[in-house]
Amino acid sequence: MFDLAGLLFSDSSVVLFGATLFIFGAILCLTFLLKQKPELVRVLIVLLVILFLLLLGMVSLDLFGERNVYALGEYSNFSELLSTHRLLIIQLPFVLLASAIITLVVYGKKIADDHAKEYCYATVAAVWISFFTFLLIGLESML
Amino acid sequence: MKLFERFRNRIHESIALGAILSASLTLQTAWISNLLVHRSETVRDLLNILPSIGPISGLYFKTITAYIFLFGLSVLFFKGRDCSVWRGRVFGFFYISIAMFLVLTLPVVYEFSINVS
Repeated sequence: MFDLAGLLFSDSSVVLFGATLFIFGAILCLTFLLKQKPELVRVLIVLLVILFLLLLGMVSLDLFGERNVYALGEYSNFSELLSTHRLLIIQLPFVLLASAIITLVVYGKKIADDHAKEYCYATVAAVWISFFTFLLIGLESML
Repeated sequence: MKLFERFRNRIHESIALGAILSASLTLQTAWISNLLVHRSETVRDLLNILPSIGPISGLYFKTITAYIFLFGLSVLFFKGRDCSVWRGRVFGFFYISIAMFLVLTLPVVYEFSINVS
């Protein structure tokens, strides 16, 4: 029998990682639709806030919990350098996502207007760079 | 009522531009702090807020406070000004800051040193 509660408590880091990837997928799809359907901005803001909180949870688990956060239940013998690097670059998604959330809250549906194109591109770039940083962190932790 | 609608429809570009500028400056302070942690024992000890985690706790705390402080300063700076003059420069600085942060937080880069014997 599939024990969801057991999985949540024993491997919360893996569940968080999966949930973050899932939310990232939804957000990346929405970034493609941002220009055509500006009504989706509210959904995007909500998802970005959830993503921000999920990342916060992951960092908290990584720092205060066990050290095998991203290793799918197995201890990974990653080097000190890679560990330091991923703990350093995790700051990038936080800073970029915070800026993206503020920009979207300020512009709202007008983010798709021509005068806001720089902000639109910066928001999309912030989300995509955060995603690639997250992937890089995931890959490094498995080494 | 019309006044309220006008206020709601107004875009506060100073806040958005402030967020972008503070993000750029925060990333710059982040890589500089990281470099200083590796080069100076004093900075390392100063940022060791939570000994169980090490200096990374201080780095995170510094990043959060820097972002909030710089965001406030940027918003105050852009308030009432023509943001279109600054927009291009701020966005250029934003992309450059991201690239600089990614490159300068690589262990190969920040641990580089030349020993003269």
